[in-house]
Amino acid sequence: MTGARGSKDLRHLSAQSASVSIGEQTLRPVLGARTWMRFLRSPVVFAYLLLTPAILTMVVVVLYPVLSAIDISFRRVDIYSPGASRGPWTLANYARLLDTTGFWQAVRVSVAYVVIAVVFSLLIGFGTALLLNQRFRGRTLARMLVVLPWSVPPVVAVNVWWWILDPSFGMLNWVLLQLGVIAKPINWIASPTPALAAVSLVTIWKGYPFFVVMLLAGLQAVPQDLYDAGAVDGAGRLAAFQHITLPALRGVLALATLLTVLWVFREFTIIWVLTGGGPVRATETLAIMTYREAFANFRMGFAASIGVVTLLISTVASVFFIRQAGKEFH
Amino acid sequence: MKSVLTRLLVLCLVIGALSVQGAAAPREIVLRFPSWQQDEPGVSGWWKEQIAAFERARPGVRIEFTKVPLAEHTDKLIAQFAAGQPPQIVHVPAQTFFPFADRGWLEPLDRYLEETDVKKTYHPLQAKECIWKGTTYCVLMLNYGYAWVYNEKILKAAGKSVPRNVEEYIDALKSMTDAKNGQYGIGIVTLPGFNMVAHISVFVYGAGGRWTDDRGNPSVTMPQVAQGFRWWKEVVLAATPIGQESGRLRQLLMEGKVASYNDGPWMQGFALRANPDVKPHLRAAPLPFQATMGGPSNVVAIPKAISDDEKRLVWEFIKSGTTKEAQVRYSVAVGAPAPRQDITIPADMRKDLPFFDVYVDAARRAVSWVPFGLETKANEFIRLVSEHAQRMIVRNEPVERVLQDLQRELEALKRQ
Repeated sequence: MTGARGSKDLRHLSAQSASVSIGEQTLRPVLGARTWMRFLRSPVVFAYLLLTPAILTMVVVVLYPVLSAIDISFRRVDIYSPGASRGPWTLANYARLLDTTGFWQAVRVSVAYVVIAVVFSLLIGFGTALLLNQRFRGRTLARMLVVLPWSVPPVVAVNVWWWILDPSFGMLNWVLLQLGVIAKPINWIASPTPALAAVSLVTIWKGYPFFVVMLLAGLQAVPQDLYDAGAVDGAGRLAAFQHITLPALRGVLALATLLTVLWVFREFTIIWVLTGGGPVRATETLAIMTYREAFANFRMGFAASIGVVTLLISTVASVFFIRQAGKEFH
Repeated sequence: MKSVLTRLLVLCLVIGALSVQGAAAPREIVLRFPSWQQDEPGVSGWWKEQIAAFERARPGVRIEFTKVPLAEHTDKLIAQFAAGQPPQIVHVPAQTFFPFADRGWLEPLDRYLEETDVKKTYHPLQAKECIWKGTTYCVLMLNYGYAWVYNEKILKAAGKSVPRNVEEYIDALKSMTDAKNGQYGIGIVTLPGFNMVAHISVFVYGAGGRWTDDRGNPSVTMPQVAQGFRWWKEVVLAATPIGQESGRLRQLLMEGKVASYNDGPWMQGFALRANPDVKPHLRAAPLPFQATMGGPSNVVAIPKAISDDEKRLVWEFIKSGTTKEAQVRYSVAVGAPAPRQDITIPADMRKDLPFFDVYVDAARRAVSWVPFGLETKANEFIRLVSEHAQRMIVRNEPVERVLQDLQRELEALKRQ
């Protein structure tokens, strides 16, 4: 009813606006009223009309800042003030980026951090999901406990871990010393390799429940018939895992891995609160370097160029994993 | 229909009443005042008294005194200035004041200062620290010198007495350390940042070194700087819990897990909060070096970007802290001499400040550790010194080699 009445109103409006008089001249629109109506009634156009508010919001909230960052990355801007003169375009920031050892160090640290955190989160998450997919007493409680780290606010979690990892008064060193595993305390925060291990450990602890949730949902969607048919064909547990479970979870795995890679790649809170990117830049990822250059050294243009490179790397990773997720399971 | 009309009527009445109330209420002026001293023992009480008196005398004006941790304070202020939204009352550590003055973000104060006797009565650092390119932009809040605050009970248990030279000092710190049982001779900040460089400066300036020479060029390859770093490295590796920041280290001193701490006069306020079994044993002694690190501590200023009315109000607030009476109370609150030189602290007001005389002497002997020549790049200077110093302790790299790298980086920073 409403649609028909709406169409009539639109026709009425279109008929009114079919020609416009300016002084003595009458301008006729290029398209006639009927053509406009047909255009507006098209399902595709209607869909885009509905999407317009969302698209406009995206343009303001996402696209404008990204384009601004790209613009700033090509200019010599130290402290960015809205409306201030930005100077001419230049490649100086990118030239400096490629020439700075700190940047390549940050790339290396970022890659190592992402690989360690994602691989271990995936393995632990997958193993836990397989366990929680079995029937056993207290399964609901176990599922709830496993997801707990995910729900703890990052700053709270990191402060708790800071207390555990404190080199002089931390619980971890105390336990390891009592057990005789180490002879002297390890500087978890203040030595380069242990510091990277420490931030990775906290990231894995925060990140693996996401894999558990995603993969558990995926496991529950695999039809039991496939396992029954496999059993009839003589497939053992390992073969069923390899030929049924893994292919069935490919899409979920790719999606969960993509989201975790992106999350870890831009992770800031855990590293900043735990080590501040130190010691000696041992945990300074691209995200930390961007922040430091922008808000500690106040080289906004240079920081924006690091941000643009980070965006490019994230885009490449996204395309790769989205393609993997798109492959169907037969 | 009737119900809807009734509701609309009620809504209109409520909105109308609120509008009338809003129109009748006088507009409140809020002056934002972010500071790391908002909850600092001693000095925060002085600020709160000043604010209360100011607000009493000016109904409708409110000062919003909020806490920002020292480590984040300067960065946040710079971001606020860049966005054109600075707080009305600008309070910054002296070491990071110059970037604000250099960017033209601060209101020149010379014509305001004519209303006071600050230029005649304040410590010479007021002229040295607050003038940038011939114009005064700030008012000095405190000049200070560092002292050694120690736990006498732990020192005596280690069989040591108050050190009279560097060798005795380092020996005492090592003797008071029992790392396996969580006991350390001294707390030294080893996390990068302002406090880490301040703690390094104790040793560097103590050895006679300077961050920059008389012409403002980096001078970290001078032998005295290397000597200072060697002492610092020896103490850090042997007698301090690694990876701690200043707040935590002060707390460890209050709990008796750290036997001593190098700090400014504000330490007295913290000492009053120590555990009951530790508090009676806390003492202060001069640092046993040839020079005492210190200088200007913090300053207040007015941003250029606020209205003239607000500038006048902020100036009235700053001015109220420069009077003799306010400076006497300030001196007692911080436990050290106030910048105003023509005041004396009555004996009865000093009786609760056991470290006062030590800090008066320290302030008198102090050498400023502001890196003149690099003062407008204070943030990067602090980052570079922190990072290079960390190399000496986490990678055990030789002091001289690291200092050569640091010299190169500081020279490049100066050229930028």
